[in-house]
Amino acid sequence: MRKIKAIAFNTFKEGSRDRTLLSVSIAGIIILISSIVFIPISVGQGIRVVLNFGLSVIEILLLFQIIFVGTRIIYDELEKKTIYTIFSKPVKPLEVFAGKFLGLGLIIFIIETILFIFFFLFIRLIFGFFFFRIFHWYIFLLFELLLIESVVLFLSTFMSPITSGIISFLIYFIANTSHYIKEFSLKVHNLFFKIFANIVYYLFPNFSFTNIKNNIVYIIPFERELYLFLLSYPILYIILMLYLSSILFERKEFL
Amino acid sequence: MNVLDVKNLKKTYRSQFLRRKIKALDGIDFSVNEGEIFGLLGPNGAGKTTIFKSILGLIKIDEGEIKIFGDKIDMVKRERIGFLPENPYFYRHLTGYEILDFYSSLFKKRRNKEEIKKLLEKIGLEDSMERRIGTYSKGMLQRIGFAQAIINEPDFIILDEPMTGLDPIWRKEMKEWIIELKREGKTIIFSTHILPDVEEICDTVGIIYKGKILKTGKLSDILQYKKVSFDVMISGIDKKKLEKFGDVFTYDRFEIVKIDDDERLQELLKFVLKNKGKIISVEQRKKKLEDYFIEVLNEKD
Repeated sequence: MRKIKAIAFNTFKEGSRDRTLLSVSIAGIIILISSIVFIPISVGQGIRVVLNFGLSVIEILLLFQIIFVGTRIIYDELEKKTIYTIFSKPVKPLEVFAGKFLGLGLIIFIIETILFIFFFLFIRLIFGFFFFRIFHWYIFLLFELLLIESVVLFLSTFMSPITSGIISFLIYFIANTSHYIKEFSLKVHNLFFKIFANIVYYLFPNFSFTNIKNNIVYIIPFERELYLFLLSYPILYIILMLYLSSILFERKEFL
Repeated sequence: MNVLDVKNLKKTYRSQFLRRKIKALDGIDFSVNEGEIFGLLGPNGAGKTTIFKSILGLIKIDEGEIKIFGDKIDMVKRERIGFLPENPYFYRHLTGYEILDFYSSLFKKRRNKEEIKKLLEKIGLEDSMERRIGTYSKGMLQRIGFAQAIINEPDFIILDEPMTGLDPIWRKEMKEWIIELKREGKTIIFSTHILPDVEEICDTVGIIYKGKILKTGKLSDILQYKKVSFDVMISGIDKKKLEKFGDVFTYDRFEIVKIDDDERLQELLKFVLKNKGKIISVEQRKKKLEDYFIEVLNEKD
């Protein structure tokens, strides 16, 4: 555990001193402030437009951050050969992946917290009330992003940063839409399509249960049991991804 | 007792472009005894780094056997090994202190703040310990690399081209550190293509060329091999008469005869005295490792 912690803090320090934390946070804040321009043109729906826009901006910004940093995190270790100094020491691949995952996860957590707190205060300033509901999405989004982070790390063990970046985006898209494909497959009578829909639904990450953004924006109640789901599905998926990454890495040759 | 035993080590790579097979190691055999400094000599691309990566399990070998401390490498043995890679690169946003603290935390026995500072002092980086690695020169990186290789107080240290990038002062220091490690009872293997470094500090050398070990042996034995030649400076005898003893060069008004062995030297001296010549000087020349190295490579080619 000590080794994982050391690698995690190392990754966090490297990432945060690279000005990533600061620049993404500032960019996020500027974009969130710019949502003010939608209020006069949103015919009485100002709060919903600002919420929709703001929460989407935070999500996309963090997704970009994960993909941009995550696809390079292992690649750079291999490219710059810092991996030699790690794996010549008593460190297992799983410890490296767990450490890298937690380090990048910590960066994402901090940026997300900064942006959500700012957005929360921003809404209070503009609309005059505290909209605490956004913090439900804050927690759900964090788990979604961590899950995607583990997928990005997994892909980066055998793909170039560009390829793994593109595929990670596609997987994020699939994760948010696979339930539509599944629903559609129930309505058509094509066996192959049904099999395909099931593979996509069960194999890829599935955010149909965790995506509660609309519930937040339109003040639709959601089942609080989803929190239990949140503590099981994403965590198991993350563990699986890290484990598979380490197995792939064990077979790798550091030429 | 042998700290390292390498037997019939073979490794083939595939070239990136046409996926052709390239033999990187072709049946390597050698051993490193406890408490010795072993120098692995060879030109660039001979296979030195591949041997180290094989020893450390960073690459998978095709054939052969590697034993460290009598057995295959595992996590327990890694606690006792230190490694400095060639042209080391570190996390550029971390400081010198943080880097050593990080590497130390990967071992069971973690060094405390004072110990890390002491190590930084030893490598002359105490004033730069709060500076980020990204601002370090090549020589400073090499020294930090050396420090991380010994951070766990290892029994067996592998140094891949440890003198690279160091200026003459720090080269000398590096050699002294290596000798100091030996005095502490550590076993060291290092690679280089700079032969005088080997002559100064190694007990045993292995010459590697095109993935094969051509010679291994005690440095003292290797230097015994055709150990001396003599330059005899003579006057008063015609150059042509001296040519039967060896190569003759004229210097000023003297003839210098190069002699390869004792017997011939005695014959020459007798000949000069008999012919009323004058022996100005007899200079013994030790054969250098460089000569031996080139000889071995030439034999192979």
